[in-house]
Amino acid sequence: MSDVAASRERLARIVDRLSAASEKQYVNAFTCFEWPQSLDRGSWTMSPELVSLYGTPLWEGLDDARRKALSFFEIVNFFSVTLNGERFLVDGLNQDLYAANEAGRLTRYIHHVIDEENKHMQFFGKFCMKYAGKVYPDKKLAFEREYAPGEEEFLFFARVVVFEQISDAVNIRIMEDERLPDVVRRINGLHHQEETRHLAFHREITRLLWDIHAPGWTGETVAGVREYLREWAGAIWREMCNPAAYRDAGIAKGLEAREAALADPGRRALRDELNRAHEEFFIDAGIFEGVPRA
Amino acid sequence: MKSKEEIYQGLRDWILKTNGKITPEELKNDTQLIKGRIITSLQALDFILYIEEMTGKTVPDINKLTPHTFRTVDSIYEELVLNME
Repeated sequence: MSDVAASRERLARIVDRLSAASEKQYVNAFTCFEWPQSLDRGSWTMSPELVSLYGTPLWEGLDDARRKALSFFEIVNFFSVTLNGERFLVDGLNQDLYAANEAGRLTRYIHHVIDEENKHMQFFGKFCMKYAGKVYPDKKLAFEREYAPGEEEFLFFARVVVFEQISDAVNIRIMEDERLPDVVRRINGLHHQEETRHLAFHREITRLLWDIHAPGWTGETVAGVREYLREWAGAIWREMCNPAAYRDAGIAKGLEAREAALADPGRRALRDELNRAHEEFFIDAGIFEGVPRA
Repeated sequence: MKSKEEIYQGLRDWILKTNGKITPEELKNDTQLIKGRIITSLQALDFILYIEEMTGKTVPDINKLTPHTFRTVDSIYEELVLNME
């Protein structure tokens, strides 16, 4: 049996296990949370160490009340970014249902992913609308371009892996933070629980699509894919630094604050740490060059 | 409120600084920015935020933009800037 055939068979077995887990561990996300009438913006709503301005000179100049207000708008932004990313994922997965491509073969589990991502969008959106009166809008745009055979399908799932891995790293820190409101921790906890299954699927299909298509790509295409995925991770972090959230927290110069957050060495070190999971996966799958960490 | 000339200058300044390779003489108002790979889709968010800050207005609905909006400096002004609120 070829490596690709063996990979397809392994993925099919993984999909069977994931589908069974989704069915057995089904959560009614419409009813499982207790939603307090309001949140105290004088308390932390996001782990301060995760706030995009934490540790920067601008942060040092904020009083405690402003820092906590910022933590509120940053959790709203994090949930908004996640919701908008899941909308993109669901749009793409809808096209794969019953399609004659690699993902279409796995339609059984894609139904579960779409179902669970819809529930995630529902509770992220409910939190944002209930406590902030808005979801921060998505301002990303995709430009049309030509793709090598299989490249577009590969990049769709590889981008999802990067996005979900970063989001999951943040979810884990928030769900374990006892300083935060119970509803914030539980939302992050349920998201982490279900995203663990999605990540298992998205990683394996990304690996499969790389194994199928990359051998036929030119060196230029491979280099372009690698550069794109590194820049994509950077773009996700840039979305996490939202001038509108800064302004809502009372920081008038939102764009300047964003540039300061992105340039700060301490924040860069945090991003490097939270990027580690997807980078190590890409190295292991041969998508990135490098040696896996011990 | 910024004049049309100031906005055009702001758009050109951002593109020149972000791209880092194209020269002011090469960047004309009808230069193909996407086909020429002068700006990429991953830079679009930063560009939109910059334009919002520069103009003091916001993009009301990103879904009303198309990738073609960013094809030239002229199209960015006519299809994005003039429709901001």
